[in-house]
Amino acid sequence: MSDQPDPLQERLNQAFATTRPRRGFEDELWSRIQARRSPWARFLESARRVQLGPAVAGLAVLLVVVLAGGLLLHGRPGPSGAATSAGGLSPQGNGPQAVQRGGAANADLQTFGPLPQPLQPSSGYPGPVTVTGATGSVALPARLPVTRYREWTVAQADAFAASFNARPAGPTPPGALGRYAGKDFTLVLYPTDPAGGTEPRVVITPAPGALRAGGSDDAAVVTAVTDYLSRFDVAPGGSAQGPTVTRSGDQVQVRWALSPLRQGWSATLGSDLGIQSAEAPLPLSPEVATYASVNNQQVYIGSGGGPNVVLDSAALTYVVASDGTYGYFEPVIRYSGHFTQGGVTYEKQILVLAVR
Amino acid sequence: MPGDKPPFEELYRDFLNRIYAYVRAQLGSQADAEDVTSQVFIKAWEAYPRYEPQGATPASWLFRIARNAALDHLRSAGRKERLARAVAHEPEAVADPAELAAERIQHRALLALVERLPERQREAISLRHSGLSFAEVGSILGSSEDAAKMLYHRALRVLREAAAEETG
Repeated sequence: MSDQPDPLQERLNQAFATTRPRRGFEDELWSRIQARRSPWARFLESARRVQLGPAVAGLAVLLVVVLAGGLLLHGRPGPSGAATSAGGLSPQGNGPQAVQRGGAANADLQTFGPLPQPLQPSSGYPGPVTVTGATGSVALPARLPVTRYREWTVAQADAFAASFNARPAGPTPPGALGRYAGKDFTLVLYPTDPAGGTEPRVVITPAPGALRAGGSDDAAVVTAVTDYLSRFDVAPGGSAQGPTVTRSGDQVQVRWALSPLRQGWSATLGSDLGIQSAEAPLPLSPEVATYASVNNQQVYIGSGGGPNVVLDSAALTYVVASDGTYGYFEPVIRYSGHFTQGGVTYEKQILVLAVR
Repeated sequence: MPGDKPPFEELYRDFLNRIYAYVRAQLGSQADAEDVTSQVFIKAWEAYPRYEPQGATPASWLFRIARNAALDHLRSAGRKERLARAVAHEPEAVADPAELAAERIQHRALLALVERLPERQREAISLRHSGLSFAEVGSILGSSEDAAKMLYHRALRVLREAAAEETG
């Protein structure tokens, strides 16, 4: 302010200084912001708060390293019904019981029960093989985390679309939960797609010319896409990595990664800098449990009736799976080996659940 | 001055009331101000990993987000209603006027006058009296520090005249 504020300036100072939101607003908003934080971040914070033992702290690190990022948890409510969330691992929460007790990663940690088998990869040799040996091995920790979330349903997709004044507008693309038309956009919501390796997501198609970036530089393009995704409460959050902007021909693509293993956000803009389509993960309410790892002996596959192959390579990774009610990020061992048939060398990949 | 990056929670605690007051002066209604303030802090939280304190003070960074959100809101469907209210000089409905002290009513009336200023004048007054330096105001409004100072004093003059009309 100036050195000697006049009475009007004084009144303005007081008016601005005494204008406050209603009581309770600060806490409500902070809770909403907290709810949008990555469950992994909240898990780590909870672990620190309850001073879990070194083994569980190690698990937390493993969670971060293996998945290299967190599930989304947006403010807009995702599918309900998930019993617990990663954030529930605090003493006040109702997460998996053994973790609540705060001990080391013991064998009696509560699990989600049987997990769906991973879908076998479509790349490589598609037919059956006879596994004559599995020499590849990977060192596994005693237990591995599994993340589960309630699958999106058609009713929830309808509600999500309705919250943006969008109504069902067929035809629904194959595998989608629904297609919806709003004033100047179309939404298509998809559930987990294990074949495509994607978690629940929404594809947003603005009407042509509905939204253009304010400039052609990367910053303007990224701002336009972020703002557009924010309209639907699916903007990249704190766990997003990026963005990267790539230009090819007349098109500009903006992407944020979630992790090397998970789909993130993307958008395509045309030569007029209008957003042509955008895609984002849908809000999820994840919960985490740990499972006992398999040992390499348990992984042996046996005969499948086909060319002989030795699986001489193994790596731990995570895949998305679904049993219809829940979607999972589950750890698998990706075995691979090569064989030659008819003068052609093929690679065979086999995924095996890494937990039991 | 730009410097270390404080925890987001600290930013939230320090700036919530100031951002709310700024937004309230732009939009008038309590409900709209709460909605937009929520959007501001949610956007800020989402963008915080990319925020570089070397590029802008936390205040300018947050108020820039707040300004954009308020402008978006004003340009949306609610704009007509706001303009109509401003033209009619219709006072904003108050949930429970009996609870408001006379001073607060005066403050509200003053903010209502601020709300009716032309856009950039309104922003200059609001940003300045939200505690920002002229350099920060200029940075947010895309002008120099001197230009921000001139704009502010012009706005103050208009406001003074409007206040005199209101009382006289």
